[in-house]
Formats: sequence, structure tokens, C-alpha cells
Amino acid sequence: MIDLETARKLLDFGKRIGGDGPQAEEQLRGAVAIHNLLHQHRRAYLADEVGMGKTYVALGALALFRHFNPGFRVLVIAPRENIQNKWKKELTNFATHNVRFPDMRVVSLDGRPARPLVSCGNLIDLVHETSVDPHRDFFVRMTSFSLPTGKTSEDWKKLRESLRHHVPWLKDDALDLRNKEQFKRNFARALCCALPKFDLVIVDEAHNLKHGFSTSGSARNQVLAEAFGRHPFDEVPDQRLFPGHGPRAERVLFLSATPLEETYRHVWNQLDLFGLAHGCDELKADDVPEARKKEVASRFLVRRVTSIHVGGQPHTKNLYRREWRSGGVAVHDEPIRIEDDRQRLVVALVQKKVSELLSGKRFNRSFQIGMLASFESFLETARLKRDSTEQKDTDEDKVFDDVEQTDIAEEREGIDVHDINQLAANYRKRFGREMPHPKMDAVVDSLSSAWRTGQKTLVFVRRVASVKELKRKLDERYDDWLMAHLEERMPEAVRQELRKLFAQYRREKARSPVLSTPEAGDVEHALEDGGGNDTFFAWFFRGKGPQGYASGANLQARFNKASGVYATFFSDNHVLALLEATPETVLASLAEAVALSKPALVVTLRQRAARYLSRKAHVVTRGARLEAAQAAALELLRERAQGLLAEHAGIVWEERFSSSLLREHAEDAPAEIASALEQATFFTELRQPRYAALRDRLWPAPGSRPEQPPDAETYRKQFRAQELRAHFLSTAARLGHAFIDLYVAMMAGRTTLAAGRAEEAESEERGVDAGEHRVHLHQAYLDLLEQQRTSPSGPWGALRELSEIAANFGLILDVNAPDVRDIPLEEAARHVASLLRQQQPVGGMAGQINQTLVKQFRMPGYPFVLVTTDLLQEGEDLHTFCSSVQHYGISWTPSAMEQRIGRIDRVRSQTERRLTTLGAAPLGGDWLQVHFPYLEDTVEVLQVERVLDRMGTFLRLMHEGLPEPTQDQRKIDIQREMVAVRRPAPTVREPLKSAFPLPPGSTTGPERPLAVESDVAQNLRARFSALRGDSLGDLPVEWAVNAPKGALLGTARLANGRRQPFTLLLRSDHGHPVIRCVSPIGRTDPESDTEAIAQRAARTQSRVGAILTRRERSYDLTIEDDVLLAAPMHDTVRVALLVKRVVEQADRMEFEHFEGERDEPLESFEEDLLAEDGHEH
Amino acid sequence: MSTDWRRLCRGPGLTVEDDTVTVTFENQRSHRVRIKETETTFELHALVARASNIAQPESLPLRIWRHNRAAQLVGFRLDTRNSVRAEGWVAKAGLEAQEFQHVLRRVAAESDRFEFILTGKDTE
Repeated sequence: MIDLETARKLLDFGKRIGGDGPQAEEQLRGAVAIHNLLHQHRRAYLADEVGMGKTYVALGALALFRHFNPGFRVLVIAPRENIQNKWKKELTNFATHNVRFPDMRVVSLDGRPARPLVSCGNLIDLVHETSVDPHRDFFVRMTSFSLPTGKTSEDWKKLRESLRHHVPWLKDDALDLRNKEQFKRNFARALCCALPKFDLVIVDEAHNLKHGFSTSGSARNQVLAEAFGRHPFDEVPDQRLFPGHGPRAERVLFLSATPLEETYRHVWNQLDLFGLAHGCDELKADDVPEARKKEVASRFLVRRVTSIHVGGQPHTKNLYRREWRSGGVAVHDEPIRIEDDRQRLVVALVQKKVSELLSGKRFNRSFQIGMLASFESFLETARLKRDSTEQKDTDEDKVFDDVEQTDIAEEREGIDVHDINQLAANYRKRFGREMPHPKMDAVVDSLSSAWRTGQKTLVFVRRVASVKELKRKLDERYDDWLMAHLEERMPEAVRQELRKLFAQYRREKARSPVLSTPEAGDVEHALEDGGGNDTFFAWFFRGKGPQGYASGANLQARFNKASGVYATFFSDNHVLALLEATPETVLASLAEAVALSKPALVVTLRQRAARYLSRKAHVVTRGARLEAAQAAALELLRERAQGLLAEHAGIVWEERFSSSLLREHAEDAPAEIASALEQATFFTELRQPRYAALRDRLWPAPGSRPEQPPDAETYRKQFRAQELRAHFLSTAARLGHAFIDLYVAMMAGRTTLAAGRAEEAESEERGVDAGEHRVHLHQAYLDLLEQQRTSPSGPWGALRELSEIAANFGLILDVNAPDVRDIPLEEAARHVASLLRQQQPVGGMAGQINQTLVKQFRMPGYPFVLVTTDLLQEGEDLHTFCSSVQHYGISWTPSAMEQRIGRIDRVRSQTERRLTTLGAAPLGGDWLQVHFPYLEDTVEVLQVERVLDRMGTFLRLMHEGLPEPTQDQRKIDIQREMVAVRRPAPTVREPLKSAFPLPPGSTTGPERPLAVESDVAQNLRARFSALRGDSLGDLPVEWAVNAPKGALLGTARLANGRRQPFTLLLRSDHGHPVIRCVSPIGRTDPESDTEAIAQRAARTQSRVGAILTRRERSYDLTIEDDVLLAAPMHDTVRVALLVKRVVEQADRMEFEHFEGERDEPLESFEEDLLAEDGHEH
Repeated sequence: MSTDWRRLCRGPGLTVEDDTVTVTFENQRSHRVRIKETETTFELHALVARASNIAQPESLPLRIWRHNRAAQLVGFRLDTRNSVRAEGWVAKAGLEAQEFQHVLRRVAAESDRFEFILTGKDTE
């Protein structure tokens, strides 16, 4: 047990959720309670409402366990791959930000998680990785337990052999292939034998296991249960075949915002899978009152209610969500109006068809909720067949998502698909156009304002084909808008050409529609933007653009190429800024600051700048000139200027230019290179006082008081933050929606769209008017932004997108790129460019998650609409800039509906930010919008009513108690429901109260001292650094100067006259400080040279390490070892012993293996040795 | 430098006999670790599995070398008879019982676990 104050000394939840407010305190209390429940009962269920940060509470509980027990072994089961990766990311973030100091147990001395994190793609991977090193944190997918065995017996054999490879002693009869069910069971049992015992298993989205363990039920649940040592009572595993079989989960933490649907049995089922349902049998009994069940569950189940303070009053989710229950999407509480007679007739015809179909004997007047194709589209539904035996996390080969809703094949296919297809074909034949679908049209209409308002919407569908259909229709609307927008804003003289280009785009699109949508996965790996023709934006502003025209794509290239006329447009002139100079006065100010005459300065700059220019470059580009001149000037300032100027110049040089020093540099720089320092750029202009208000919106300056200048570390942080902000601003300005405005500004005054001579001359370095043109554009663009700033009611444009990014910069980094805060700025710039590439106004996702699209949806700008199946129902947070969700296709379980809304209803959501800062009473549009579009007078009404009803039941169940049990509700009986009296589903309008608060006493315990003091890391780093000053016993060592933090690099001179490089790494082992020594032998490909290495290794009492990788590297064979540190006085002796053991054996192996031919110096391995500090093995 | 290692391994689950400590685990499995003293260190040796008990020895070298990259305080190797051995060491300078037992238990636990993975038995 642990108390709140002890936990507070270790954990700080305030870092990522906005200070030490009530949310941070709730998280801390949750972590302590979950720790204590797990400690007492071995099980806990954290069922906080969606978006409250269950992951962080779980990580907090884990940290508390591990801090006091560094050997604490953890396995996380995530629903699928993207969530598996998200856990790894969150654990890393948690270690970096939420643990107060590196304690060598939770957080290592370098600030990362103390234990390496291992993702396992399947169960064999898990066995393999736990056998390689069980002292790591493992992450698996729930889908892996489905045991995708394939269809052929060869596939099964392969699976058997791969397990045998890791568990070679398995007897043949343990994995008999004749009975597939028995094989799966025994496979899981063998797995259980091979796995170590986990101190804690965290099951994320545990409601997926709600159907529990039964030999006739879910195969996935059976495999999972058996793998963790649970078995049927009448079938105890044979210990001869499965020695060591038994429980593998000491404790289990279940996480889900929706732990049950309509019965507590679901909770019991989940506990039972891990053999942890003891004492809870009342949960599954029919004759136990619900109040008693609630009492039993509340011993281990915690559910807290989230609220947003609006005007000082807490609003629970039922109060801040605005539901559109009447089906309409244009006016709240109004249905969709069908004004057009033909549309009305079509709907009536389809209804007649559907009614006839349902009235037939086959379907018994019932249908599965969400699984009629006609609810979503009247277009033909083509099923995409996939001929693959591999089971994937994909729904592209299905008609609907979540097909597990029904076992009946016809229902899975959509019972009305055949009839609708026939109708659609007839209609097209008769009228020459697609059959209109009023619901789809209404939704498309309402979403088409997005490009004017910038408001994002997340749209969930059930029918997989609806993703592409909705996207296509929205893309068409977007094109209409973009073309009109360009026509209105471009110079009169080019409009005729523009219209021709529109026509050309339409022709090309009609010819090759396949180029339309970038598929998930393709985008992830594409290095270059290939454009596309899904929208005019993709065709004209991305990729290469139409040939021969000054298209958006064509002009954009001029920003990206170092030789382009706009190569330095978005650069910053740091020298100008540091000297507080203006263009044309920089050299004079610099000369004064470094006490040189101007001619001497020009010569010095030229000499120094050469070291930043490539020897191979024939022409020194505009971009390279500005870079080299700045680097040279900053060097000079660092060395020769006085006081803060020198200090700041040094920091800017280190952070921004030190990595640009070239080994193979040019011998000389162009004579006029110094003049590059006089250059104005977008950012130098933005610093001008006349743009102060604009700068505040787009690129706010770091706050510091003039009378108290920042210390060096603060200045470094501020400089990095400014640079990162500048990268985001400049990248967003030239890649997405904001680029349209910049393009229009660039085209001002043009008389032709043809990429003629003028543009070519500009793009060459010799262009005489290029500089003037650039300055002109800086001002024109800044004036345009300024104009947008002063007219806030205008449409969504560059200013609003860029200022939204600036205002929420920290949040964007947290959710999309937390690592860029710490990586070199050059790398950060690449990361930002990759984050914002290939933007599209409307995104569609089915089959596979496209992370680029997901991340862009978490930022302002494109995509404004994201259409998806249940692919994004769990795991991906999409709340940061979206306040509206549309249930275009409806899910049958309240938990699925809640999960879907939960994507945009989370801590730090756009809704929360808006509502908590409102100056007046909220209007309808200020709430979080939840749409349930449907057509009145159709059977769809019935399913929406049913789902809303069930959502109400779920709400009451989790917040007020359990209502009467209901029958299986995934089906609608239309005969019964149609004649029933229509009644709107009641809505709860009073604040919600949790039925499962933290159990009394769960946050109390004995106050205990932390296992280590908070200054332990600092002391150890000092001891480690001190090693460098000592000779290591009688072993002469030359230390390298450029080792990273937490590492030392050196070369030992051996008694035999040879040399041996090595690195020392400061690590921790179960809370003890440990020094690791790695010495490379060389590159020898251990996989093909195994025998020779094995023979030598057999005679070596040292640890031989092999790096099995295809990546080109300087060594793949090592000798390594480690030693624990004791009292500081023994450090040198111990490390000397360690280094001697390692380098002597490594040298001997190198000598023998390469037959005396090699004695490599440190430089040969330096780059890879520097990377040893990572957790890659 | 002289230190009596036997004095350092008084604790639950540790049984000393001659130059060998038997470490018994919670699951009732156990593993023997032989202690060898040098002038400056104690070396800890354990036999993981004899070649005759290993079912698929051909993939072992790579597996062991990869393990050695990842693991701390204990390393594995195949000896000239193709038996798998585990080794660890502690420096005598500043050595205390807690550290000695930490490494001892690690060598024993890793050896025992690897023995089980390779053979399914508890022989050593």
C-alpha cells in the first residue's frame, strides 16, 4: 500500500494536462488507488469516462510498483497495432515528463524509461523476446491471440515449427495437428509454459473480452485465457506435456470506459479469463439484486466522471454534448428535409423494397443495426475480395465494419445490398446519373462549409464503401469552392488560363480516377509528394503540378530547393536578429561587435564560411550562402564579442549550425558571401515593430524581462522553441490550405500563368531582380496576413491556420511530435516537413490506419473532414481541433458509440479549451456536437431510437444503477417497433454522478520514503564523468572528446602494442547503478560466419554480442560486460577491471578472427559506438 | 584482497556447499552456481544445459549472442562441448552482501530460465 504524499514525491501529473489543477490531482489519486487495489486484490478495473487519461493513471500505478520493486515485470495487451505503438509512446512521454526525477527504476539516467520497450507483432515474437531478455516491458496486440493460423495445413505446420524453434522440447503429441481446436488450445498452453510470470498485465480496451472464456465461444478469448494459465475445470493440462503450466499474470489491470453493456456478467467474464473472478460470482448470478452486484463491482472497479467548467459551473458530458437526435444536420432538432420530389420518390421506392425484403420469411422482419446498405448509400456496393490467407487488422474486404455483430453471412454482406444494387443500376440506366441519397447529400452539404470555417468533423460510417463515396462527393464540393476562390482572387489577366487548367484537371480526373485517393501506408512511406487528382488542390498545388505552368506546385518547389529564388524566404537571419540590426547595416554592426574593420571582417567571414560549404558543389546556392555566412559570423561573435552577445551567439551556433561543419569542405567561399548577412527574410520582417501584433499571433516572442536577461539554459530553450515554431509556421504556410493565400500573393500582378522566362530567370542564381522580388513578396504576404488579422470575421485562411498552430503549439507537439523538443533542430525541421506533407482537405480511412492523416487531423487545417470506419473507434485521439462527430453509420453497442464520441471528447480537447475560456454564455455551436443523421419516415428511425435508448440505459447504468435487463438488442423487429408508440428517447439533463468512485481508503497507506533520493542521478553523472580524468588502473586510455551525455568513448593501449576502442555507458539495473562496456570486434556477419565465431567464443570467458541487422554498420560483433557501482571510492578500480576484461578479449577476437590483419582505431566505429546509448539491441 | 564470499550469501533460498551455492526460487525450481575467486573478483559460473539435453542446438549461438547484447550482469556462451554456460562476476573492491546476492540470484535465475526454455527440465 502507498499513500498519496509518497506518490506525489515521485509523480507529477501536471506536466501534460495543464498545471497542478484538479485534473492532475485526480490522476494522482487514481494512480494511487489503482496501485493499492492491485496490491490488495490482484485485480482492478479502471473505467473512467473516455478521454480522462486512463493510460496515464495506469502508467502512474505501474511507476509506483516499479519504483519500490525494480524487478516488476509488465505486459501490455493493446487492441491493435496503432494502440500498441501509442502505449510505447505514452510510456516514453510519461517517463520523460511525469516522473519527477530519474530514479533508475522507472526512469533511467538519460530520462528515458529504465526498461527497454519491446513491441511484439505476434505471440511467437512475444515468446522470442521474453526469452532473449525478460527484464523489459512488452507490448502485444489482442488480435495476436486470434492466432491467425491460415487456411492450409502448411500454414499450421509453420506455426507449430516456429513455436518449436523457441520451445524445442515440446513433444509431438503436445501439438497434434489433426484437431485444429485442440491444436490452438495446446499451442496456447505451450505458450504459457514459455512465458515468464508477469507482475502486472494491463489490458487496454478490456471490454473486447466481455464475452469471456468458454470452449464454444471466442477462440481469441480461449487462447488468451490458456496462455495466461486459465483452463477449463474438466481439462487440466498434462504436466508431462506442459511442464510449468500455470498462472502467468500476478495482477491484472483492466482498462475501458465501457466495461459492460447491459450486465455485470461482462465484468465477471473479463476477470475470469485471467482466473481472477474469485469472490465475484454474484456478478454473474441471475438471482442477485443489482444493488448487490454494484457493491461487489465497486470493490475493484473505478469510474470517475469528467466535467468541464463553463461559466464557473461543472458540466458533465451529457450537459456539454449537444446531440442532434432528430436526424437533421443543418438545423438543430430538425429532421433532414427532402424538398425534391424525385428524391422523395426514390426514398419511398427504396423503403418499399427494403420493407418487402424484411417482410419475407428469410429475415423474420428484422435487421442488424447499422447493417443495411441503404442507410448510407443508394450506390452499388461492390465487395472487395481479398485472396489472402493472412488475417489482418483490415476491413477493406468487408461490406460493413464490425462484422462480428452477426454470424449470419447474409447479414454480414448487408441484406439489402443485392436489391439496392439492382435499383441503382436501373436508375443510372434510365436517368444517366447516380441515384440521389438525401441523407448523404444533406451531410455533404453541411460538411461543405468546412473550407470556409476551418471547423473539423469526424464522420463514422458502417458501410466500408461509404468512406470513398463521401470523400469523393466532398472532394467535388471542395473543388467547386477552390476554383471559385481562385477565380475571385487571381489577377484578371490569368483567369482565362485558370479556367483552361480547371478543364484540363477535370479531363485528367475523368480519365484516371484511380489516382484519386492516397492509400494508407502509401502515404506513410512516400518520400516525395506525387500529387494526385482527388482534388484540384492535389493536382495543382502538390506534386509536380501541370507542366509548363506557374502552378502552386511549381512555385512551392522554389521554396524547397536551395537554389530556388525563395530558398531563403522562410529562413531566419539570426545574426541580424542578435545584433538588432536592419538589412544593409548588419556587416557594420558585426564589425563593431567583433572589433574588426569591415574589410578584415569580410575576409575572415569568407575564410570561415568555406568550412560550411561543400567541396563538391559547383555553384554555391543562395540557401547555402546564407547558411555559411551566418555560421561564420556566429563563430566570430562567439569568440570575439562581449558578454551576453557572445554567449547567445555561441548557443545559436551550437544549436543551429554546429552540425553544418563539413569534413570535406570547400577551399574557398564566394567573395561576396558576407553580403548574404544583409538579407531580409520573412522572419526578419516579422520582427519589425509594425508587425508586432501579427507576430504575437503567429510567432510569439519568448517572454523575458529586459532588466533580467535569461540565463544560458533558458536562452537555449527559448531559442529552440522559437526555431521549432518557425519550422511549423513556414512549413504550414507552404503546404496546406494556408498555401493558397501565399500562392495568390505570389501571383499578384502576373499577366500569365505560363512558367515563362521571367520565372526561370528568377529561379536561377543570377536573376538580378530576384532579391527585390523576394522582399516585395515578404511584404505582400505579411500585409495579407495583417489584413486577415484585422478582419476576424473573414473566411478560414492562412492567418487563422497559422495563428491556431501558434496558440496551441505546446499541445500540437505533445500529441504529434513530442520528440522534436529534444532532437537536433535540423532533424526537427525534417520531422515537421514529414508531418505536414501530402495534405488533403478530406481524408478517408478504411482498412489501415494512415498515421500522417491522423496526425494532420490533430492539427489545424487539412483535413477538415475525416471519414472512417470503426478503424479509428479506439486508440487514436482526434480531439485537439475537432468538436463535431457524425454517426453517419450507426453502431449497435452503446460502448462503440461512446468510444467513437470519445475520440474528440478528451482532456485538452478543442471543446474544453473553448468552453472554459468563453466570455459569455455558450451558444449552441459552442458545445461538442454529436450528429445522428437519418431520414425520417424510414426504418432507420427505428434503429436510431433503439441505439439512443440503449445509450441512455448505458449512461444510467454507469452513473445511477442498473435498469431492468433487456433482450438481445442488436436486431430490430420492424413489425413490433413500427406499431409501437413513437417516443423520443429521454435525455438525462442533470449532472452525472459516478456509480463507482474511488473505494474508501484506497488512497491511504503508510507514508514511506522513496527508494532513492532525487539527486541520485546528478551524483552518478558526476562520478561517471570523473572516470574520464583517471587512468584506469594500469591500462592507458585515450578518451575521445565528443561523447554524448551518459557515455564515454576511449581507446585502450594494450600491453601487446595493439589498441582497442570501447564505450562506457551509465545505466541502471533494478535500481542499482551499472556501467556497461562495449568494445567492437568488427563487421563479420555473424549469421553466415556463425561456426568460426562460435569456435573462438567457446574459448573466451567473455560475453560475445551479435547485432543481427541488415543495416550497414561498422561492426556487428562485440565483447561487452558490465559492473555494478558501489561506494564512489571504488569506481576507478571497478571500471578498470571491467574495461580490461572487455578490451583484452575483444582485441584477441579481432586479432584471431581477422587473422592479425586488423587493429581498427576508434574512428572506424565511432558513429555506431555513439549510438550504443539507445535501447536497440 | 581477501573476502569470504560465503559470509556474503546468507539469505533465504541460498544453500552453500563447498564452492557452490544452490539458489531455490519461489516456484520450487533451483539452480546451482559455482563461485571462483580471483585476486580482484569473484566469478560466478553456472551450467545452463548440457549439449545432450538441448533439442535444437543449431540456432543457439546467434540466440545467445543476441541475448548477451540485451542482458545485464550475466552472459551466456557455448563451451567447447556445446554445453550452455552462464557467467557473471563481481569486483571485490567495496563488495557487500546485497550486491553479491543480487548478481548471484541474477545468474541463477537467468540460467534456470534459459535451462527451462531449452530443455523443459530442472536438472542443473
